[in-house]
Amino acid sequence: MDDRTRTCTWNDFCEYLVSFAEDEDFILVVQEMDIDLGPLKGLPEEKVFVSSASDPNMILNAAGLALNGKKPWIAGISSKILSRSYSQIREALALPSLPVRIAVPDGGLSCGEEGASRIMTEDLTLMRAMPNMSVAVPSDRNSVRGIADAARKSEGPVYIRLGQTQLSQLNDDSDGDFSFGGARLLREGTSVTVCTCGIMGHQALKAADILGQQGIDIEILDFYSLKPFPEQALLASVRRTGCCVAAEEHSYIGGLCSATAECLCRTYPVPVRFVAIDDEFVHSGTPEELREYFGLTWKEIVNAAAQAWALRRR
Amino acid sequence: MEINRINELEQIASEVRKDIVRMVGVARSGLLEFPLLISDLLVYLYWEEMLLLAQSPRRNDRDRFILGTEYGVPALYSILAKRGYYGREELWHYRRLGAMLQALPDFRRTPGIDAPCVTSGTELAVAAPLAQSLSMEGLNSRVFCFLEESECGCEDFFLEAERCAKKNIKNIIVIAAYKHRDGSDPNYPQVKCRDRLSGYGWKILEMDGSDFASMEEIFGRLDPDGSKPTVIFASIRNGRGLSFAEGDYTRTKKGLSIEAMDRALEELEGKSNG
Repeated sequence: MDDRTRTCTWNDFCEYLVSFAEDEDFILVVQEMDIDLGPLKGLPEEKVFVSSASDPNMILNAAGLALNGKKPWIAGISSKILSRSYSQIREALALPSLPVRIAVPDGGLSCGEEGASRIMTEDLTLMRAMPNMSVAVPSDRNSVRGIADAARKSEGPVYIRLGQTQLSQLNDDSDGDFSFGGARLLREGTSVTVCTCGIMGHQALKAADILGQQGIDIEILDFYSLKPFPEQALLASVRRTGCCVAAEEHSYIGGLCSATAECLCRTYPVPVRFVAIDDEFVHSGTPEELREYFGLTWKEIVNAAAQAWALRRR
Repeated sequence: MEINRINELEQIASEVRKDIVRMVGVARSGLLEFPLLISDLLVYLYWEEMLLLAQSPRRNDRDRFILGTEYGVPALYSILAKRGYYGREELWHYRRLGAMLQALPDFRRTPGIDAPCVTSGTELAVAAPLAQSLSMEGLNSRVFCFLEESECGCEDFFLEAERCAKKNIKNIIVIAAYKHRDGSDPNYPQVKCRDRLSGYGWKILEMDGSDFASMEEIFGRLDPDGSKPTVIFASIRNGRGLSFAEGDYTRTKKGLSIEAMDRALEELEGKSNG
């Protein structure tokens, strides 16, 4: 893939957001000091609501706008929004199920240089566990656009995890149908089901080539919608392959790994392996260094798939 | 205000207070004192000041009421029932499983509730953008944000208050209820709050929140064409509550025994007759 076609999901999201900013109910809530608006600077002034210098107030401001029929988008740093404003998200957005979308530009390890306090490897856990909240993790431009469209139609709160890592298109299906509760088939296979979200879909595609040389033909599913979780897509694949690997740039507790295991334990138990961050805080470093250090590359997917496949053969 | 009208409002407030005692008594849980103290104030707002129509609780041009303190929830429920938003019998299911009247107002299910009651953070941060958004749509609706004194002292409240003043949000009226105290100690929280809000450019008013004539006078001073947000410091008098509930039932959630409920109703009956 030509490097010039690689983009980060945050920039893709900003570009797309500007394109439908003319919607009557559109409004973006930001704290100007906290975020580089980047491509969002193209938004009309009346469409941007700059909140006071308090993260909890920003969440409550969005709730106030939603009470008058607006469908606000919030953009802000994940560690500040989720940790400082958790109770406001819970009480003012999720409990009354107000149509507010939270988009964070620094998901996963993509801002690794900022250090442990800024890197949330448990954001999906917090949002998945919150009733009424939908959770999405786009992995390329197509999925960003599809998820943004789904979020526009949503009548409840949505959390969208974006990142700064430059990524290529996962497939050429620009007209793909994205909806909450859906998953995308990235590669057909018969040996192992590999569940991914975010950047791990890209790593899984690299792993597929290596595994193919060993005679293991993996099927890759992009679970861009973590909640509602597309159980039927997972089960349809696992019934054919008989084993599963879940890979995510997140703690193995509470995110895609947990969702996969919860579904399979309950309905169709098969061998499962995880490729995710252990229960620990991460260090500062470049995203690439951190992914190598914490084992979030195609190599770990190869190992995990081989193990799961071997267990299935017993 | 004519004396007959004052008597009518006092009668309504008395009925509201008795319903508060009954609902908290039947539920065997819930706060009692604060709701009793603020019932006069809410009666004035809902019967005299706010533009609303109980038959169309979601009408777009209505005034909004946002309760920023969980302590006042039983009073609001009792007021809304009396105003005709739902049947009075709903009060007897307060806090029960599946009931419409949950411990905290369910914005989606309860008619007349304009916003969720947020127990963390300042409700002004919900009220201000709502008021701003209504104003930008050309509506004359006002947003009344009712806060308890402790909620007017946090830094998030002042940050939002400063933003309100900078944006000239004129259709927001904060009602800060505080317990009446004798003297004028400058260290009282409301004095500090008043000075700071005044510095931002808020219009400051003060009234006796247990006296309908005082309320009429102060609400009459609200300027519909003004350019400033307004805060009204409303003192609430202990005498409106129950003598035996004061202190003992403040901010506890013990509820009332049947005997205590009977005594409370007798006391309230005595006050309304006396």
